[in-house]
Amino acid sequence: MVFFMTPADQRLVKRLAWVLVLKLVLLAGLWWAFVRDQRVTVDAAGMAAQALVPGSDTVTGDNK
Amino acid sequence: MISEQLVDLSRLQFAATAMYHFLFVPLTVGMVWLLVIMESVYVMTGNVVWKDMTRFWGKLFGINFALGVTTGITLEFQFGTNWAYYSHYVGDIFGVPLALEGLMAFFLESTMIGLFFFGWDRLSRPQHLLVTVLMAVGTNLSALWILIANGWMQNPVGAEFSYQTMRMEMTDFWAVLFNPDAQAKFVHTVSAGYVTGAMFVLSISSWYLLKKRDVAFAKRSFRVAAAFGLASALSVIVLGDESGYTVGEAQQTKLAAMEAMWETKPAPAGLALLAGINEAEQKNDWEIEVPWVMGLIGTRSITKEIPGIHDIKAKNRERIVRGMVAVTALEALRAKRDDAVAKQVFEQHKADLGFGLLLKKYVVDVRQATPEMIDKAVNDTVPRVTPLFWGFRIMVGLGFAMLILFGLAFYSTLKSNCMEKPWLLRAALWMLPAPWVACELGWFVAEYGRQPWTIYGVLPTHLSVSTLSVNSLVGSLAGFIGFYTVLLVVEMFLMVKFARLGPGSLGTGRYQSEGDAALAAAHV
Repeated sequence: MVFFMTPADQRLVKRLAWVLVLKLVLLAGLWWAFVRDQRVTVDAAGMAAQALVPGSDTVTGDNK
Repeated sequence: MISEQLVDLSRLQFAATAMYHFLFVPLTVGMVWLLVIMESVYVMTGNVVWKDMTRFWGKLFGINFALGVTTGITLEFQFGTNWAYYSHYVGDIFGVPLALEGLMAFFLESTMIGLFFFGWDRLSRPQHLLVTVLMAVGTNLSALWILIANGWMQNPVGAEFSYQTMRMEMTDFWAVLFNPDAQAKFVHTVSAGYVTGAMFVLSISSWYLLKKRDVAFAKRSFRVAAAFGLASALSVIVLGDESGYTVGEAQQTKLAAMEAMWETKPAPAGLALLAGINEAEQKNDWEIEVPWVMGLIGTRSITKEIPGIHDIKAKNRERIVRGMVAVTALEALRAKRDDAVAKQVFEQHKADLGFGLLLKKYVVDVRQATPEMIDKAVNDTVPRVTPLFWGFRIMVGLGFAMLILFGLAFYSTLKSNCMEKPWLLRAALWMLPAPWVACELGWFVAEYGRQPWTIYGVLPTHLSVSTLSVNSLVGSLAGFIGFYTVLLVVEMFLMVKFARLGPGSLGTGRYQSEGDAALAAAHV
């Protein structure tokens, strides 16, 4: 992957690769620390509970 | 009820990550076409300096792309993590352009970027040019799909609410695709990107010319950037006017707030160039007005009125009252699906459902809403005027300043005397941040001006957020800010370093900065 690259270019590619890896690791770390346990699942009933009077949604079934 | 702190933190996190992401996007979108122009000249003429220009500016383009990539992905993840109710409510429509962006545009763009950098010695000249063109097409297609998604948030066409699934469902894909708001936003936004790319090349070329370094290379870069920048700056202003027209059609509230139009003025309305805004008393203490202009921009006629904030609020009050009926009917329908009366009432009032839901910020059961709560909800329907008014004017002012600069730069290249005008070169250098400031302000006006909605007139922001803990939001927000600040420092460091090295960093032996570049490269 270093066809006709100057030494500066090779160093640049290495740095960018490191930055990319670091970004992915840090993003995964942020997700692990703050998001992983905060899962919010929303379906029709959940949306109704958020937008309407809680308890008004009494229908059960496929499209609840 | 959802805590306001949670809503504000979720908004702040999205705004911070989106504005950071948009530091990279316009440069990528704009510079890629400059690369196409430079490489096309190389293929047509065989003059190797044009190849060097493509490779050198391509290197800076690559640094920007590598640092920017993944910053957009965090936005898409936030729809699921921080905006789960939003994603349920509108995912049926909003998800389509986002998925198409990934499948059609991002993969094309990324593949071609790889070929662009590593294909110079493996592809023929026309083949490599084709790669560069496809890279540009992919980049702009990416912007198209994202702006179709965003345009739908501003003007939700081609969809209908289903009380059974409690979400918006697409009824007309083509209406979503050809949404006039999305089309106007796309051309305006990519033109702003072209201006950004042109300003970047113009500014750095000006620095080389001021330093009298690699003059032939810098002069050609300056000429391409000046011509492309002039055409782009003209486009961004003309297409911005079109964007103003579509905003006037679909989002009268945003237009009235941007223009601090408290009262409906007789047609054709004048444009308040500057104004002393008094939000407490809902009026302008003073204003400098240009007659007719607002009416022409907002309605394309001299007879149509543009409603002022007070009239808009009066209409919104009526919509909130009808929306309360829609919410009540929806509750009845959710309790008993075959309630024919409730269904009929809901069908009659469902266009105002979103306005009824605005009351959920103040009361659990909208039927219990007091007149004071309705007053608060009515006031909520108009975003704060001062930041929109001034944000818009600074953006437009910068746009015109850049147009003048590109015009002068282009004229000087026609006369071949840019070297004799150091003031012009210095102005070009100091104007480097201008397109970024204008782009960020443009997004601020578009998104802040849409409040209190995530989907204009359909879904209020406070009902869109996930019920996360405040602590997790504060933690992730702090993490994002710290992490992104470091990335920005790395970006600035690499950009400044390789811009300083100049075309000598290509190691071709053709540039006077070659020795400096080799020396500097040995020390980094």
